[in-house]
Amino acid sequence: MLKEPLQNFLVRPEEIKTRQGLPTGYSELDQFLLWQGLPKGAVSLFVGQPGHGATSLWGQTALSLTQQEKWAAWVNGPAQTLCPWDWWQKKMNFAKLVVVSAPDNRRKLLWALHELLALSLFDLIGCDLGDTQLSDVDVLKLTRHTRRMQSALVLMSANPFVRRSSFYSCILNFSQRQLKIERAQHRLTPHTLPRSNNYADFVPQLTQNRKALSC
Amino acid sequence: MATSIEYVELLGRSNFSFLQGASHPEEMVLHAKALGYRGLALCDLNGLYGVVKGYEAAHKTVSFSKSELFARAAANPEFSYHVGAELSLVDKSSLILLPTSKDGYAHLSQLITLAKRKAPKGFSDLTLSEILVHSDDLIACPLPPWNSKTLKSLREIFHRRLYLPVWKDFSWSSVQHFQQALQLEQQLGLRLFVTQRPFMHHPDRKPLHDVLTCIFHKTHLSAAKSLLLSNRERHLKPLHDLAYLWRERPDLIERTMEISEQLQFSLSELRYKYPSSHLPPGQLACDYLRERVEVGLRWRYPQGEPAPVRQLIEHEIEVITDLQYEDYFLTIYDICEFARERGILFQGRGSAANSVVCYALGLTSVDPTQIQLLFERFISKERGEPPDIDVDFESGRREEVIQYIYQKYGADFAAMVSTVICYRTRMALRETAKVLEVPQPAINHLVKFMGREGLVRLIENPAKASELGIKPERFRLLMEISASLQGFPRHLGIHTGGFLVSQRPIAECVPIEKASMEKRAVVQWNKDDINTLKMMKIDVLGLGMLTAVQKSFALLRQHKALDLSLSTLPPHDAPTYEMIQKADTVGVFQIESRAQMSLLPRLRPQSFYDLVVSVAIIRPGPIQGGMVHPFLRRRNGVEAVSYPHPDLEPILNKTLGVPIFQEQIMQIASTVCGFTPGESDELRRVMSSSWKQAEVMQGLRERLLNGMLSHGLNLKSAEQIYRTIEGFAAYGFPESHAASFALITYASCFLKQHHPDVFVCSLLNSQPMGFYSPRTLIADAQRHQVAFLPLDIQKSEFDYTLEPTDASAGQSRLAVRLGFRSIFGVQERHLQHLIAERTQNGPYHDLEDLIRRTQLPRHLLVSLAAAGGFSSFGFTPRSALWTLQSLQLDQRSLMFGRPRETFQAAAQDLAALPGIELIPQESDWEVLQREYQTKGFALDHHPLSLLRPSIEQTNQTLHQQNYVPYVQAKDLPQQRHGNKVRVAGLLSIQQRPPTAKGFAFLTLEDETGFFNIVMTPAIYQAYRLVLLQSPLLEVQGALEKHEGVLNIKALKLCPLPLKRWLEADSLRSLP
Amino acid sequence: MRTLCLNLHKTEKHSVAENFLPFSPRVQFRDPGFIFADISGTTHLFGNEATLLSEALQVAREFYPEATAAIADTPAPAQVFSAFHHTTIVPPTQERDDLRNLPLEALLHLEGLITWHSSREIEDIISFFHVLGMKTVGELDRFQMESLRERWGDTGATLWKRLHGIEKQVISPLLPSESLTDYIYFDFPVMLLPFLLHCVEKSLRQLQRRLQGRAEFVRKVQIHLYCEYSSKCHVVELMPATPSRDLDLLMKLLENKLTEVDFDNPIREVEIEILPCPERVQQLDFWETRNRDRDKLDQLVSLFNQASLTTGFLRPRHDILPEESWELTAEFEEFSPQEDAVEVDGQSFRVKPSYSQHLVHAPRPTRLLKKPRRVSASELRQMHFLSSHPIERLEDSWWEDSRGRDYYFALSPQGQCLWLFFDRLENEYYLHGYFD
Repeated sequence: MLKEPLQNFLVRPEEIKTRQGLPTGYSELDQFLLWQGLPKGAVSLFVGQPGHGATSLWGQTALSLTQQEKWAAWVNGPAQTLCPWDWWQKKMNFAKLVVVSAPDNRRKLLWALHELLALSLFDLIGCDLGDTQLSDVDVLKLTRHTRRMQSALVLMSANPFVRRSSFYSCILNFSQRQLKIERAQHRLTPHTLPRSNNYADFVPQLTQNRKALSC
Repeated sequence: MATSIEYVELLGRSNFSFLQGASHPEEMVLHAKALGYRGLALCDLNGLYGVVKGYEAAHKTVSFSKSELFARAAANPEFSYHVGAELSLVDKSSLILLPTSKDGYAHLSQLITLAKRKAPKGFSDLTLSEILVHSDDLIACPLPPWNSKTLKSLREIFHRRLYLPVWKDFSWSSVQHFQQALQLEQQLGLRLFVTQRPFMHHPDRKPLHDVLTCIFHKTHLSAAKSLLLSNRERHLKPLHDLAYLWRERPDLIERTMEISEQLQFSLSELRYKYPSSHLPPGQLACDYLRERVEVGLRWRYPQGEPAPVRQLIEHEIEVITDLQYEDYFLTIYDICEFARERGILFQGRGSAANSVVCYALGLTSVDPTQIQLLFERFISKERGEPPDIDVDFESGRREEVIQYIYQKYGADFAAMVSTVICYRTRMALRETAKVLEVPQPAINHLVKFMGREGLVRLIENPAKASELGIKPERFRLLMEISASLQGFPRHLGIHTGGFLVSQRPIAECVPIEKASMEKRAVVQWNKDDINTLKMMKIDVLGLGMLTAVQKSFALLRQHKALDLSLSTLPPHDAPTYEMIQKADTVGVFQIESRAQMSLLPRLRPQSFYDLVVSVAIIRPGPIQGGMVHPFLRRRNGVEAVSYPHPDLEPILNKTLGVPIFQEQIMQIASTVCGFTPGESDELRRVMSSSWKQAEVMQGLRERLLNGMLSHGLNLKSAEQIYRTIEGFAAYGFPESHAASFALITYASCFLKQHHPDVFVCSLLNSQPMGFYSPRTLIADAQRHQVAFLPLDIQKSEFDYTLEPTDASAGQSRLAVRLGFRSIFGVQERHLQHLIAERTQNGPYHDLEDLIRRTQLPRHLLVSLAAAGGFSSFGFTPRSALWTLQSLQLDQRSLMFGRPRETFQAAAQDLAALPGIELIPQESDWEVLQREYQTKGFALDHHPLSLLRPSIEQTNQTLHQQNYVPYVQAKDLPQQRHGNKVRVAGLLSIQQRPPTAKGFAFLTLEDETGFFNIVMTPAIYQAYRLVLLQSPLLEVQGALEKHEGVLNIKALKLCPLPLKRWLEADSLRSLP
Repeated sequence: MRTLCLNLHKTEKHSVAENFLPFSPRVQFRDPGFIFADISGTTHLFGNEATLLSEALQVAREFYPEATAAIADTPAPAQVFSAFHHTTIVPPTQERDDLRNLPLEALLHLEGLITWHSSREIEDIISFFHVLGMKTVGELDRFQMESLRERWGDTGATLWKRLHGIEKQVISPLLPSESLTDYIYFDFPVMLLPFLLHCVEKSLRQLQRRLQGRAEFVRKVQIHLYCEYSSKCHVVELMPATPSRDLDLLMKLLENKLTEVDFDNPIREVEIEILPCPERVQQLDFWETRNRDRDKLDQLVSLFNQASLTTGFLRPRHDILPEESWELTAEFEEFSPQEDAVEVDGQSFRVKPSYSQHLVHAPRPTRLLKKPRRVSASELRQMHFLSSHPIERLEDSWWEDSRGRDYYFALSPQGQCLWLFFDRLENEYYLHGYFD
């Protein structure tokens, strides 16, 4: 007799399925992660020097997203800007990508992120931190905001010793040969995956023997 | 690493790819040769326009230009020059075709003709199937981007003769194409070869190439962005750079040599076969020619030709048969026979006038007994250049002759020679400025400021640019680029008269294009190319004066039963020469200009040869060469006849030791300076080509000076002779040419002296022509007692006609009835309709009858009324206008011709309509004004004759205050040299020739004659605006009188005080 | 009958005629800027016609500096004299003689209340008479109406009637019907209070002049200030204690009200309405929410721009240098690469090539440095160049300053693929971007 009143309070087993993430297109990573891609409604951290594949991974996810007519946003870092030609050649739909120029200080960066999230329009937001350090409180506020708006926020930092706050739900570390997953929910971490440098496809000489190119 | 590699550039492009190439064919070839290439193939877009110029540059050994580039080029003898073309196919890909043999070249030329035939100028369309038909003996090099399907079909067509060009110009597209080529080489086994795809011969030409691209796309530089080349690698690189660039694949470079060896074709193989003119059956060309010459001689010299002429004839015929030019002479003879039957007047000129055979055949009419002819000038064996006979026809009927040639030889065997329209200074500056975003008003200002001196004047004062707000850096760029843009070809035009005729279809030796004018086909080469390849062309030119002379002869036959022709004019007619000496030569051929008129009284020509000299002497050549005055002084005995060197005596004796003709200069060069035939030929080409390079002239100067000094002349006279030669470089006049013109001059003078009425009537009927406006011609004729009858609706024709009137019956003079053609702005077809209606059903009764029968549009009736045509209906011009206004002139309406709304009884007489008599009366001045507005001249009054009474009044007041009074033209000769005069007249001619260094020459006209006014540059600048404001001027100046020539040196200029004069003597005042 | 004709030399609305009601109830406006008043009954109020004329001119010249006026018997000649002799008074019945010695061009102005059918026709008539040698209007008296009608139909007939003053033109009384509203649009958004007040005052004075003409008082003034960057709108209502026409009072009230309003969002448009009668009040609601994506984005973009963060969509551009080859634009535009321009005529064609169209497909790094960093010699030694010759040589705008750059690919010791260029002007190596 206790069963019926108690029933509507307990969570039914089929409801405990995992939240669906954003597929990144890198098959080993998608299979390994709980959310089959980048977690929606959570903040992830990519650590890696520019040129080690961090931006391309975010770009691939954004590519598939915009092709499904969903919105994505990118906030530029202080030192480097995003160059659209690589993605234009891969037919990204720029109508669904909003780019914001580099905010000059941490406070304005956070204000910009909160404004982007407040719109509840974007599914994926990328942000190049450069060398700014975010405190735990900032990350906590960001996580709460992304959970309410159900959009995925990805922060990229070039500084290998960036503070790994506990509120990041997924941390990836990019190096020359491999991709190390330092934190992922319900997964045995750290876990390393081999990484292919995807700039090889358009500079054919790089793939063939180098001799052919040295003209 | 700098191994000496052997490389041939197979894809050269010159600026004859119209706005897509940035260097001249000569520059491309010379530069390739100087860099030590083993060869160059010139492939322009859809055409073979510049190949001959490249051929000439490649094989030129003699040149005066001292530039070291030419020296290095000469040190590379085994340079092979190839010909080719880049054709764009329908699927927007492009293909390079290189002929390996003569019939390969014929196929290529036919292909281009096919591509151009259907397409308008600059366009082309060619499909693979058409290429299949003309594909043998041709090497094909398809240009990237390639697609395998076309490559496969090309391989079926060309089998082993297919190569793929690859190049590295540090752009991503070349890297990709190189990759694709490597794959194709493995998969399809195609062979590659290296090229640099040069668009310019030197990297500094990149700015010019960018400007050309912008002009082609009609945009300006900052908006061009990705239209331009991304770097300047598309030029001819030195060999060692090339070797280093392709060090892994040297085999690709050797392949260019392999291809070059296959290309065995050279332009010199173009054997040009002249059409065998339609000989009577069974007769050889030379016999037929000899027979015609004999007939001609009997016609020219009824009493037997003198011995020297017979000896000359034999010599000439022997040379002609030796060089097989008989057909050429017979073709022209045939054309002239056609013209003679049709009664079209014609006259041969140019170097052809040196040959007695032409004189015998009736082509030219220069009598060898009078002029010492130089046959070598026409055809010389060792030079081997083809003869060039120019024939002038009546300009009106030239079209008949052209259509006759087309119809006789067929459209495929005859085509017009083309001229290449190049960028002149003005257009080059305008286009470059537009591309460099200079605002439009600034451009117009620059062009106007530049005037005639060209860019030099702009370069000298750059302050002008800062005034207009152009940054100095940008102005420097503008000057540099527009200077190098000059001489670039813009598009193809038609040569005025050149015709190319051949036995085999012309399309086999040169591509033919559609000209903008319909029914005209144009060859892609111009007249210099034709001469370089020793092809024969016929010049069919038009001359206005011939039309006038022909009309005079026709009028003489019709009215005065006199049968005259050019050759049967009495040769030495004293009154004619006397008239010429008095310089009364208004309207005559060649010697009517002001400069001639001022020279004739001093030269006093008495014989035909004097006429030849006077025609040749007033040319910029002699004037710049400082030759006119010494000749005059020697002619009048002021200066003794002297020769700078005894050897010159035989050459210059006929012109009193002063070189005037081009032949004399050539003889001086060959005898005194020891020029070889090749060098004198080069000299002739430099003198005739208008586009001169500085270093060529510099080299020529040194060569001539040391030639003369080595021959023993002193420096001063050598310098003097050089200046005459340089002066001649622009406009030297050949003696034979002057002789044939002099004949026409003599004919027109004869007619003017003996039949002024016929002469002025035929002149007015062949307007626009000559130096003077109809007003001056009529005023001059009236001074020679020729009566003129006003316009009349019943009697006038479209042309001016001659009518016997009782007054002139006595001295066999006729009066000239004005024709309708004198009225401005009327169309001939309306008037012909009016005249036809009149001749058919009799003269018109009155205005209404005229309107109903002819149904002419309103504007024509108004201009007829304004010109006073309805005087025979009893209307004054104003009343005619008033009545016309009330008539319903819209043909569609029922009331056509009737008054629009008649209130009174229907039978209303038009003339008595109310208000007719109320129109104010026209004063003489207003009549004059109306006549000038409608016809440009007035018969009864001259403006000055109307103002004469008020001028007399002002003269009296001037006398009282002892100012200088007005003087008339007829009593100007009484004034002494040097004293001050004040003249009033109507401005008829205003001239400021470039050779006169800023001096301006005016001709004022009053009812008694002419005033010749000379203005110094300062005076001209001061009074320029006065000249623009009013045509009626007052000039105060000093009179100059020497040897019967009256000139007034102007000091002050001002408009006549018309307002005050007209009010004073009760004429109606000006509006 | 005496008519006053005013020519404002400016195209105006009909309501301007109300300014001149005090001079005479019968006022009529005719575009482009003519006002005719029948002053036969009201001259005595102003003493004589001269004072009336000068006062009317003074009222007109307050807003239209080059206004001219004239008084004559009938409207048409009055208009002619206002054009030819500015402020003249033609004594009664002397109109036709003065008209006679004017040049022929005066006929163009002889219109009054009814304009000519087409001015070109009149110009033809004038030039025709010039040809016949006639100079002044008087010379046309010699013709009868029939001969003019025959040549130019009705225009000829009306011309003759107007010349002889037979045409009847009556000026009807004016019943003011248009509302007292005015609208101002600023070329640049206004943030400064004094400037805003100055503009409002100018249009208030014009409205006040019309009130004077209509003899009414202001009961309530309603002013709407529309902001530039959002649809916010400030509404200001002025209620003078007692209805009056005092301009200064209204301006003082307006100034107090506007001082509390904050102007951080500049004003672009102003609408002023004077309510002479109390009952009509307009109510606008501006707070309903917006839900479409487009408006969300506009709001975001304007918000970010205000915080000096340029935001927008990526739009690539045809430029040779990589750092200038794209831009951020607020409105999204599709980018199409520049192909060869092909002109087709029938089935034949002409290709106008664009030589650097392949730049669109050239490899570009994912991350580009904002300012290329100079690479030191030691770093260079560690890098491994993939080719001794440049992959691309880019030269830009030689007409400004020629910046030649040779681009190379290089592998850094940490395995990054770098994009270096060698500046041929300063012959130094620079790092420009990373291939990620």
